[in-house]
Amino acid sequence: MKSMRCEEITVDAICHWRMEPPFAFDLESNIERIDLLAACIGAQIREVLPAEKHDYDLVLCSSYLSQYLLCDSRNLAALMEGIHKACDLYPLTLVHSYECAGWSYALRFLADHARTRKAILVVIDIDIVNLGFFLDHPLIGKSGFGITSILLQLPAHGGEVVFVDGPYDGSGFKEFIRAIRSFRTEMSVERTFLPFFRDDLAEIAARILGRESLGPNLAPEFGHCFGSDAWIGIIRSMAGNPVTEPRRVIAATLAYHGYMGLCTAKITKETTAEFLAFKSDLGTLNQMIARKQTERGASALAYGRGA
Amino acid sequence: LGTLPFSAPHEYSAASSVEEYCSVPVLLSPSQRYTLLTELITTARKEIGGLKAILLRLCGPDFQLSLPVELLARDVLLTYDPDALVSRLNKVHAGGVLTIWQDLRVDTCAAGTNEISVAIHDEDHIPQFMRFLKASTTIASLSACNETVLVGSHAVTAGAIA
Repeated sequence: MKSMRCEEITVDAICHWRMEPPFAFDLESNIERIDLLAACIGAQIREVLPAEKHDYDLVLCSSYLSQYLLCDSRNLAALMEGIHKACDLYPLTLVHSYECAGWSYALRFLADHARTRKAILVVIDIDIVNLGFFLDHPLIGKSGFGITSILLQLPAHGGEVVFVDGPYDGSGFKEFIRAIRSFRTEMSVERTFLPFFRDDLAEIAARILGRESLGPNLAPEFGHCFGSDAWIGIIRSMAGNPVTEPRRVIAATLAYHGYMGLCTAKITKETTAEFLAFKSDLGTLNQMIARKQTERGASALAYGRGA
Repeated sequence: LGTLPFSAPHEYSAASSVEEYCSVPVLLSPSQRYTLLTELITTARKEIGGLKAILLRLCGPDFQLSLPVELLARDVLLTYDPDALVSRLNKVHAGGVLTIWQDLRVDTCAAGTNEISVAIHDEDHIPQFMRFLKASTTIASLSACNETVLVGSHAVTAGAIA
């Protein structure tokens, strides 16, 4: 069997903003919502960026981002330019086809074509046009919407940093669990952070992989948050258990069609983490953006309900 | 407009806000589009030695149909805007970057032009790129093929499925 050994990435910052839908229902046009979303993404990227200037590769990833809007190059340009205006970084690209495994495929691409060791992955799952289907999907259950930024360092000497596989029928749950088992035989890690599963699947995963070795299944609290689940789990684990020595954990993701990604992430005492939850009406979002502008540079761990 | 099932009145107006009239016919199913793109990629790999990356324009996910394994391969990135990444990749690899821009309509609510554009972005690979154009059954099936030579780039643009 092919070795699954991967080099670890170092996580410098993780930030998740849980944004309750509907998104900016009080704005009249989609382009205004795209501008507002870009401002939110840019504000979050500023939040994770260090005060000193660095050269970062920035890639946007999504499972659910109103694709029919963004296929229009004018809307895509508005999103990209709005982010650039808000944080002074122009995204390299937006990947969307890989569903919830987008960040893992983007990470593979960045590692294979590394120009700089420093990268930011932004996972964006916001429904700009506010359709209802994914609020409570018949198979997946309730969904959580939001934006996650992961500021990371690729290994200095290069190499593979992520195991990806798929597609598999039936969402590949069985193959995913097997892959994690194999991955863990090659990588020494403290815990594994899975996607947030429905109770029945979470129980199977816990029995096979070992309950204590897994991060919390936060599906009852947050629903399935697309590609952000593992990162939210890592943030939660840091909030209750401050990092004193480096921790190595697996961030794992599984997409609807069985695309999957596993990587080993090193969390250190310097790693900053933030989780905020807030409504997505225009007033609240503008308050958040303004608040983050005034707080720029602050990087202490924060965990709680925002504005 | 065919899309996800709606359950609330506002979803109909929301969907209409992204709907646009498109007179371009739907000539392919989603799986046929994947088959066509797979043929382009596998033929490119065969005919163009030393390819470092294949950047393919593919937008949102199709929750009805999984991607073929060839499109998930390590040398392929599925992205909204392949051309935007070319200069970034050329700084790392000095060539060997193939872009495939496609706007093929399939039987969903997305609009499209039914056009495909393929391009190689360095001089050294142009002879192999020309062999790829001759070998690809997809390129051969295009109704119109306009060849464009740009500085440091060679492209077949606006080949349309008809």
